[in-house]
Amino acid sequence: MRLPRWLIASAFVSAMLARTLLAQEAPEIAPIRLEPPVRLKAGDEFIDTGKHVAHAGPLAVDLNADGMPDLLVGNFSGHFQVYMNAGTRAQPKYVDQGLLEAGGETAKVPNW
Amino acid sequence: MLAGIKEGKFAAPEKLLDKAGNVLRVGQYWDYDAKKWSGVPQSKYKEVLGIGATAVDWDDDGDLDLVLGSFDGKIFVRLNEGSSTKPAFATESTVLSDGDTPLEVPGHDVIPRIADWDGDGRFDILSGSGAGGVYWLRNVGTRGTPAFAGPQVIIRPSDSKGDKANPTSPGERTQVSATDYDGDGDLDLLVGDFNGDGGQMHGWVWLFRRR
Repeated sequence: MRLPRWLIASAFVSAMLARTLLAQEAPEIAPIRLEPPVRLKAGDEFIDTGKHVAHAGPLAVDLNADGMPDLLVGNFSGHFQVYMNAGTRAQPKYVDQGLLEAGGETAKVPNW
Repeated sequence: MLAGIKEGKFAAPEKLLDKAGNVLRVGQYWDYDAKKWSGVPQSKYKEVLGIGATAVDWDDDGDLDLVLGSFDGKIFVRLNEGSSTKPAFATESTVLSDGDTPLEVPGHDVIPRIADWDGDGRFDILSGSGAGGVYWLRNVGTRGTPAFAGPQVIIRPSDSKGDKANPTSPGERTQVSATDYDGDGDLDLLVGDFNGDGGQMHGWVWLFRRR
Protein backbone atom coordinates (compact mmCIF):
# COMPACT_ATOMS: atom_id res chain seq x y z
CA MET A 1 0.00 0.00 0.00
CA ARG A 2 1.36 3.36 -0.93
CA LEU A 3 1.36 5.93 1.89
CA PRO A 4 -0.30 9.28 1.17
CA ARG A 5 2.07 12.29 0.86
CA TRP A 6 0.39 14.15 3.72
CA LEU A 7 1.18 11.28 6.08
CA ILE A 8 4.79 11.10 4.97
CA ALA A 9 5.17 14.88 5.35
CA SER A 10 3.57 14.80 8.77
CA ALA A 11 5.90 12.05 9.95
CA PHE A 12 8.90 13.98 8.61
CA VAL A 13 7.90 17.17 10.48
CA SER A 14 7.31 15.17 13.67
CA ALA A 15 10.72 13.56 13.38
CA MET A 16 12.43 16.90 12.84
CA LEU A 17 10.61 18.41 15.82
CA ALA A 18 11.58 15.51 18.03
CA ARG A 19 15.19 15.82 16.94
CA THR A 20 15.15 19.53 17.79
CA LEU A 21 13.63 18.98 21.22
CA LEU A 22 16.06 16.20 22.09
CA ALA A 23 18.98 18.38 21.01
CA GLN A 24 18.10 21.14 23.54
CA GLU A 25 20.82 21.12 26.13
CA ALA A 26 20.19 20.21 29.74
CA PRO A 27 22.23 22.27 32.21
CA GLU A 28 25.88 21.26 32.22
CA ILE A 29 27.18 19.18 35.09
CA ALA A 30 29.75 21.14 37.10
CA PRO A 31 33.10 19.32 37.45
CA ILE A 32 33.54 19.79 41.21
CA ARG A 33 32.80 16.60 43.12
CA LEU A 34 30.99 16.33 46.42
CA GLU A 35 30.72 13.64 49.07
CA PRO A 36 27.30 11.98 49.54
CA PRO A 37 25.01 14.15 51.66
CA VAL A 38 24.70 13.94 55.41
CA ARG A 39 21.57 15.14 57.19
CA LEU A 40 22.61 17.41 60.05
CA LYS A 41 21.59 16.88 63.64
CA ALA A 42 21.35 18.94 66.78
CA GLY A 43 22.01 16.48 69.58
CA ASP A 44 20.27 13.25 68.62
CA GLU A 45 17.56 14.90 66.53
CA PHE A 46 17.72 15.83 62.87
CA ILE A 47 17.52 19.56 62.34
CA ASP A 48 14.02 20.13 60.98
CA THR A 49 11.92 23.18 60.22
CA GLY A 50 8.81 21.05 59.79
CA LYS A 51 6.81 22.52 62.64
CA HIS A 52 7.32 25.95 61.11
CA VAL A 53 5.99 24.90 57.70
CA ALA A 54 9.35 23.53 56.62
CA HIS A 55 11.38 25.11 53.74
CA ALA A 56 14.76 25.16 55.46
CA GLY A 57 17.19 27.93 54.55
CA PRO A 58 20.54 27.23 56.28
CA LEU A 59 23.43 29.58 56.88
CA ALA A 60 26.67 28.99 58.78
CA VAL A 61 27.59 32.09 60.76
CA ASP A 62 29.64 32.69 63.90
CA LEU A 63 26.90 34.16 66.07
CA ASN A 64 28.87 34.38 69.33
CA ALA A 65 32.30 35.29 67.89
CA ASP A 66 34.05 32.23 69.32
CA GLY A 67 35.72 31.38 66.02
CA MET A 68 33.36 28.52 65.21
CA PRO A 69 30.46 28.75 62.78
CA ASP A 70 27.02 28.24 64.26
CA LEU A 71 23.91 27.45 62.25
CA LEU A 72 20.99 29.71 61.45
CA VAL A 73 18.09 28.06 59.64
CA GLY A 74 15.25 30.09 58.18
CA ASN A 75 11.79 28.57 57.85
CA PHE A 76 8.57 29.27 55.98
CA SER A 77 6.94 30.96 58.97
CA GLY A 78 9.55 33.69 58.70
CA HIS A 79 11.48 32.69 61.82
CA PHE A 80 15.12 31.72 62.24
CA GLN A 81 16.10 28.58 64.16
CA VAL A 82 19.39 28.91 66.04
CA TYR A 83 21.87 26.07 66.58
CA MET A 84 25.02 26.95 68.47
CA ASN A 85 28.22 25.02 67.75
CA ALA A 86 29.43 23.30 70.93
CA GLY A 87 31.91 21.10 69.10
CA THR A 88 35.13 21.90 67.30
CA ARG A 89 36.00 23.65 64.07
CA ALA A 90 36.59 20.31 62.34
CA GLN A 91 33.63 18.52 63.92
CA PRO A 92 30.76 20.86 64.72
CA LYS A 93 28.14 19.71 67.24
CA TYR A 94 24.98 21.72 67.29
CA VAL A 95 22.75 22.59 70.24
CA ASP A 96 19.22 23.81 69.58
CA GLN A 97 18.79 27.30 71.03
CA GLY A 98 15.25 27.93 69.79
CA LEU A 99 14.22 30.86 67.62
CA LEU A 100 16.32 33.93 66.98
CA GLU A 101 15.35 37.04 68.86
CA ALA A 102 15.81 40.53 67.46
CA GLY A 103 14.86 43.82 69.04
CA GLY A 104 13.68 41.98 72.12
CA GLU A 105 11.16 39.79 70.31
CA THR A 106 11.16 36.59 68.29
CA ALA A 107 12.42 37.67 64.88
CA LYS A 108 9.94 37.26 62.06
CA VAL A 109 10.07 38.43 58.47
CA PRO A 110 7.45 38.23 55.71
CA ASN A 111 7.98 35.34 53.31
CA TRP A 112 6.27 36.89 50.27
CA MET B 1 17.37 43.28 57.18
CA LEU B 2 18.25 42.48 60.79
CA ALA B 3 21.15 44.74 61.71
CA GLY B 4 23.77 43.16 63.93
CA ILE B 5 24.39 45.01 67.18
CA LYS B 6 26.93 44.28 69.84
CA GLU B 7 27.39 40.98 71.64
CA GLY B 8 25.89 38.89 68.87
CA LYS B 9 22.46 40.43 69.07
CA PHE B 10 20.23 41.75 66.31
CA ALA B 11 17.94 44.72 65.93
CA ALA B 12 14.30 44.28 64.92
CA PRO B 13 13.75 43.50 61.22
CA GLU B 14 13.40 46.51 58.95
CA LYS B 15 12.38 46.71 55.33
CA LEU B 16 14.98 47.94 52.90
CA LEU B 17 14.00 51.05 50.94
CA ASP B 18 15.19 52.25 47.56
CA LYS B 19 16.52 55.77 47.05
CA ALA B 20 13.00 57.06 46.38
CA GLY B 21 11.86 55.80 49.78
CA ASN B 22 9.80 52.88 48.43
CA VAL B 23 10.00 49.39 49.91
CA LEU B 24 12.53 47.49 47.83
CA ARG B 25 10.75 44.75 45.86
CA VAL B 26 11.29 43.08 42.52
CA GLY B 27 7.66 43.42 41.49
CA GLN B 28 4.84 41.31 42.86
CA TYR B 29 4.22 41.06 46.60
CA TRP B 30 1.58 40.03 49.12
CA ASP B 31 -0.05 43.06 50.68
CA TYR B 32 -0.57 41.88 54.26
CA ASP B 33 -2.86 44.82 55.07
CA ALA B 34 -5.12 44.51 52.03
CA LYS B 35 -4.73 40.72 52.04
CA LYS B 36 -4.19 40.52 48.31
CA TRP B 37 -1.46 40.25 45.72
CA SER B 38 -0.14 43.56 44.50
CA GLY B 39 2.61 44.72 42.20
CA VAL B 40 5.03 47.60 42.30
CA PRO B 41 3.25 49.85 39.75
CA GLN B 42 6.36 51.58 38.44
CA SER B 43 8.33 48.36 37.96
CA LYS B 44 8.63 46.74 34.55
CA TYR B 45 8.75 43.46 36.48
CA LYS B 46 5.52 44.04 38.42
CA GLU B 47 4.38 40.49 37.69
CA VAL B 48 7.57 38.94 39.06
CA LEU B 49 7.49 37.64 42.63
CA GLY B 50 10.80 38.17 44.41
CA ILE B 51 11.53 35.52 47.02
CA GLY B 52 15.20 35.78 47.98
CA ALA B 53 18.02 38.26 48.40
CA THR B 54 21.71 38.37 49.12
CA ALA B 55 24.32 41.11 49.13
CA VAL B 56 27.59 41.49 47.23
CA ASP B 57 29.69 44.34 45.90
CA TRP B 58 28.53 43.72 42.34
CA ASP B 59 30.33 46.59 40.64
CA ASP B 60 33.42 46.74 42.87
CA ASP B 61 32.73 50.27 44.07
CA GLY B 62 33.10 49.55 47.77
CA ASP B 63 29.47 49.14 48.78
CA LEU B 64 27.03 46.25 48.89
CA ASP B 65 24.50 45.74 46.11
CA LEU B 66 21.63 43.27 46.13
CA VAL B 67 21.10 40.10 44.11
CA LEU B 68 17.44 39.12 44.10
CA GLY B 69 15.87 35.79 43.21
CA SER B 70 12.40 35.25 41.84
CA PHE B 71 9.72 32.61 41.89
CA ASP B 72 9.86 32.24 38.12
CA GLY B 73 13.57 31.41 38.06
CA LYS B 74 15.13 34.71 37.05
CA ILE B 75 17.84 36.61 38.90
CA PHE B 76 17.93 40.39 39.34
CA VAL B 77 20.48 42.95 40.48
CA ARG B 78 19.64 46.10 42.41
CA LEU B 79 22.63 48.42 42.52
CA ASN B 80 23.53 50.55 45.49
CA GLU B 81 24.04 54.05 44.10
CA GLY B 82 25.00 55.40 47.48
CA SER B 83 27.74 54.18 49.79
CA SER B 84 28.46 51.44 52.28
CA THR B 85 27.30 53.63 55.16
CA LYS B 86 24.46 55.39 53.32
CA PRO B 87 23.01 52.95 50.84
CA ALA B 88 20.78 54.35 48.09
CA PHE B 89 19.40 51.49 46.08
CA ALA B 90 18.28 52.05 42.51
CA THR B 91 14.52 52.24 41.95
CA GLU B 92 14.52 49.41 39.42
CA SER B 93 16.10 45.98 39.16
CA THR B 94 18.11 44.70 36.22
CA VAL B 95 17.51 41.14 35.11
CA LEU B 96 20.59 38.97 34.72
CA SER B 97 20.88 38.00 31.09
CA ASP B 98 23.02 36.26 28.54
CA GLY B 99 22.73 38.73 25.71
CA ASP B 100 19.03 39.42 25.38
CA THR B 101 17.95 36.20 27.08
CA PRO B 102 17.32 36.29 30.83
CA LEU B 103 19.15 33.57 32.70
CA GLU B 104 16.83 31.13 34.46
CA VAL B 105 17.47 28.48 37.06
CA PRO B 106 15.70 25.24 36.10
CA GLY B 107 12.84 24.40 38.43
CA HIS B 108 12.49 28.08 39.44
CA ASP B 109 12.34 29.33 43.07
CA VAL B 110 15.65 31.17 43.01
CA ILE B 111 17.13 32.10 46.35
CA PRO B 112 20.60 33.27 45.33
CA ARG B 113 23.79 32.97 47.31
CA ILE B 114 27.22 34.39 46.54
CA ALA B 115 30.42 32.33 46.72
CA ASP B 116 33.62 31.94 44.72
CA TRP B 117 32.77 28.33 43.98
CA ASP B 118 35.64 27.61 41.62
CA GLY B 119 38.25 29.66 43.47
CA ASP B 120 39.14 31.88 40.54
CA GLY B 121 38.87 35.12 42.47
CA ARG B 122 35.49 36.10 41.02
CA PHE B 123 32.23 35.70 42.92
CA ASP B 124 29.73 33.22 41.49
CA ILE B 125 26.02 32.73 42.09
CA LEU B 126 24.63 29.56 43.64
CA SER B 127 20.97 28.69 43.94
CA GLY B 128 18.67 25.89 44.92
CA SER B 129 15.54 25.18 42.93
CA GLY B 130 11.86 24.46 43.35
CA ALA B 131 12.47 21.09 41.71
CA GLY B 132 15.42 20.34 43.99
CA GLY B 133 19.12 20.24 43.28
CA VAL B 134 21.66 23.05 43.35
CA TYR B 135 22.89 25.18 40.45
CA TRP B 136 26.02 27.22 39.84
CA LEU B 137 26.19 30.27 37.60
CA ARG B 138 29.88 30.81 36.98
CA ASN B 139 31.16 34.37 36.78
CA VAL B 140 32.91 34.71 33.44
CA GLY B 141 33.20 38.48 33.58
CA THR B 142 35.74 40.79 35.11
CA ARG B 143 36.06 42.54 38.43
CA GLY B 144 33.50 45.30 38.51
CA THR B 145 31.69 43.93 35.44
CA PRO B 146 30.47 40.45 36.28
CA ALA B 147 28.87 38.28 33.63
CA PHE B 148 27.44 34.83 34.14
CA ALA B 149 27.31 31.61 32.22
CA GLY B 150 24.13 29.57 32.15
CA PRO B 151 23.38 27.38 35.16
CA GLN B 152 25.40 24.24 35.73
CA VAL B 153 24.23 21.42 37.98
CA ILE B 154 26.24 21.00 41.18
CA ILE B 155 23.71 18.69 42.82
CA ARG B 156 21.17 16.88 40.68
CA PRO B 157 17.54 17.01 41.75
CA SER B 158 16.92 13.72 43.46
CA ASP B 159 15.66 11.16 40.97
CA SER B 160 13.91 9.27 43.72
CA LYS B 161 12.89 10.76 47.00
CA GLY B 162 12.90 7.24 48.37
CA ASP B 163 11.64 6.65 51.89
CA LYS B 164 10.33 10.08 52.78
CA ALA B 165 10.54 9.32 56.50
CA ASN B 166 14.24 8.50 56.12
CA PRO B 167 15.47 10.32 53.03
CA THR B 168 19.01 9.94 51.77
CA SER B 169 19.14 13.13 49.71
CA PRO B 170 17.47 16.54 49.67
CA GLY B 171 13.93 16.94 48.49
CA GLU B 172 12.41 19.93 46.71
CA ARG B 173 12.47 23.70 47.13
CA THR B 174 16.14 23.61 48.00
CA GLN B 175 18.04 26.52 49.48
CA VAL B 176 21.83 26.51 49.52
CA SER B 177 24.73 28.26 51.19
CA ALA B 178 28.45 27.68 50.70
CA THR B 179 30.77 27.52 53.69
CA ASP B 180 33.98 25.84 54.79
CA TYR B 181 32.05 23.60 57.16
CA ASP B 182 34.98 21.63 58.56
CA GLY B 183 37.79 24.17 58.32
CA ASP B 184 39.77 22.24 55.72
CA GLY B 185 40.17 25.18 53.39
CA ASP B 186 37.56 24.47 50.74
CA LEU B 187 33.91 25.35 50.34
CA ASP B 188 31.26 22.82 51.25
CA LEU B 189 27.52 23.17 50.74
CA LEU B 190 24.65 23.38 53.18
CA VAL B 191 21.32 22.56 51.53
CA GLY B 192 17.92 23.03 53.12
CA ASP B 193 14.87 21.43 51.61
CA PHE B 194 11.16 20.75 51.74
CA ASN B 195 10.21 17.12 52.16
CA GLY B 196 6.69 15.79 52.59
CA ASP B 197 6.10 12.54 54.43
CA GLY B 198 2.52 11.30 54.13
CA GLY B 199 1.07 14.60 55.23
CA GLN B 200 3.93 15.60 57.55
CA MET B 201 6.21 18.35 56.35
CA HIS B 202 9.92 18.42 56.98
CA GLY B 203 12.67 20.89 56.18
CA TRP B 204 15.95 19.09 56.62
CA VAL B 205 19.46 20.51 56.44
CA TRP B 206 22.04 18.56 54.42
CA LEU B 207 25.81 18.84 54.30
CA PHE B 208 27.68 18.11 51.08
CA ARG B 209 31.43 18.10 51.76
CA ARG B 210 33.68 18.85 48.82
CA ARG B 211 35.99 16.00 47.88
